[in-house]
Amino acid sequence: MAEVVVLGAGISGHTAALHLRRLLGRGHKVTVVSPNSNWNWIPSNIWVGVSKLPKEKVIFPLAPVYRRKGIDFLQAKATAIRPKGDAQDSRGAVDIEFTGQNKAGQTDRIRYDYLVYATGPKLKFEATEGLGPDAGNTTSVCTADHAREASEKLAATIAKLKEGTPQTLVVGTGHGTCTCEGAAFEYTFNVDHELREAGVRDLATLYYMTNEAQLGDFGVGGMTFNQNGFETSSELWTSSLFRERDVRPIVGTHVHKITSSTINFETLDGEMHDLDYDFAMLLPPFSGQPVKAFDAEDNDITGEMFAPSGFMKVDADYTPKPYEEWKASDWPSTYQSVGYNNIWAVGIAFAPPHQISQPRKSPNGTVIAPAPPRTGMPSGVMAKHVAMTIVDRIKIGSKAKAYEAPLSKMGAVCVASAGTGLTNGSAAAMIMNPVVPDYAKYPTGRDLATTRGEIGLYGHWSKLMLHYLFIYKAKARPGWQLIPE
Amino acid sequence: MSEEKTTTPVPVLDLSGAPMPNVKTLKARYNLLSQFGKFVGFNLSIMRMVVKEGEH
Repeated sequence: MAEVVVLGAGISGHTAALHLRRLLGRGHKVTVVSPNSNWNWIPSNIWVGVSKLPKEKVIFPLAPVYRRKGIDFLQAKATAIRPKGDAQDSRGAVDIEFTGQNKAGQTDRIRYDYLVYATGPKLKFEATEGLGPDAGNTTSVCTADHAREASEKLAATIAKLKEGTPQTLVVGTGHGTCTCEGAAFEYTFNVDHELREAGVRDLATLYYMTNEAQLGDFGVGGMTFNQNGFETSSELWTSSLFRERDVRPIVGTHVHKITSSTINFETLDGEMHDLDYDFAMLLPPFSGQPVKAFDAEDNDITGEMFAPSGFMKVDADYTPKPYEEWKASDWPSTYQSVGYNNIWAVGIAFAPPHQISQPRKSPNGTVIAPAPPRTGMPSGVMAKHVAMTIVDRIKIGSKAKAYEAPLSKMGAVCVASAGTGLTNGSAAAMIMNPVVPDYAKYPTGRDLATTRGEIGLYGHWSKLMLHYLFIYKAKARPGWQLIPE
Repeated sequence: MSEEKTTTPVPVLDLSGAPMPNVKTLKARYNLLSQFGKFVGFNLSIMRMVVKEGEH
């Protein structure tokens, strides 16, 4: 009997676990370790953040799904990986600390034959002084709870606007190395939409504060679309929407400090600025989860397995090189851990070789460089491919070829909501192919025939459809595996 | 907090050169028939991409 352990139950971990269970007989064990008791369809947190959905509509408990599917579930966080085991047993092991199941605080060491490391990011609010819900200043939409809190604060701001008091709202990134600019974009335009629906848009000044050097970068270096006979940049396309909706963009920013009334930030030219605000949603930068690694003699090998960012190193080219020498082939294909052929890292948890967007520094040396996004669709695809690799290794043998899912050959769909409503909502519906641009293959970095972006009501219908489809899929309802990642 | 503010000049991007959609474009974004056609086309594009990637 093989034992497969999956760390994390987000889009990647949960997808991997379901496919592993589906493809492996019940003679093999699949265990999920996650500190959260609920699964969260994070793309819809935006709508929770503007009170269009209650929190309960974007989460569901994991335990019943795993029970039904015959997957063991431990509500715990991983604290250490021991890929060569310990003095008692040479099988790989993970140290865990329970966070629920009436065992909070208890620790254990569990063994594995195969390990899928899908822990997702640590939300590093502490990287910016005063950032985040715990500091009491700015809000976030990274979790369902954060999004609900954001919706309450936004509602209070709209109430003040209705009383006739002008308000300044700021949405964007709270640090120079944030990712998820797409989520910030979505929340900005959903806030704009809500302000208009409330009839108070004219009293609100809405800023979009971003670490992107140009609008439309989205952490992927922007895109080029064919539109109306011209090659259009995503920069022009998004600038149009910002102008149309009177959202004031501030680009190339790194936030240094936030108080209850002021955001202090630096721009790429090295100048410092203060922006007073009434409501702010600023995303945190990500790091890897605080998981250490030890060899069989208990020596710390964290630096061998993990990059300084805390994400797990995989089959990528981590050789430091300037932007001009980056290649699509720098990116991983199999997501297998460096040095261990039974460990894989997927989703946000794997260490990228570098950014996708051109990294920049201010004259003061401040890094203002969007981190590469690992969005839902690629994360699910990676997870499924790793699950299939593990299944083949179990059924065929250790020489079974690994399935490959490089971001430089994979397309991704991104639907960025710009306001809800079955007849008056809209979204920017984008396809980028591939995710990581390949300038050796395509002059614009991506395939112009399949890379596209358009704003319209159909985008909102698409995002709504994805909301229902992916929650259905994640609940492992009949036919779930027919819904593509 | 929202009365007189003493902020330093905030470098807002100049968008005066960005194209503005005309009335026809704005109406088309919410035209149910044409948007339904785009909805179908968009999802077919996704399926084509998924099937093609599955063949690799």
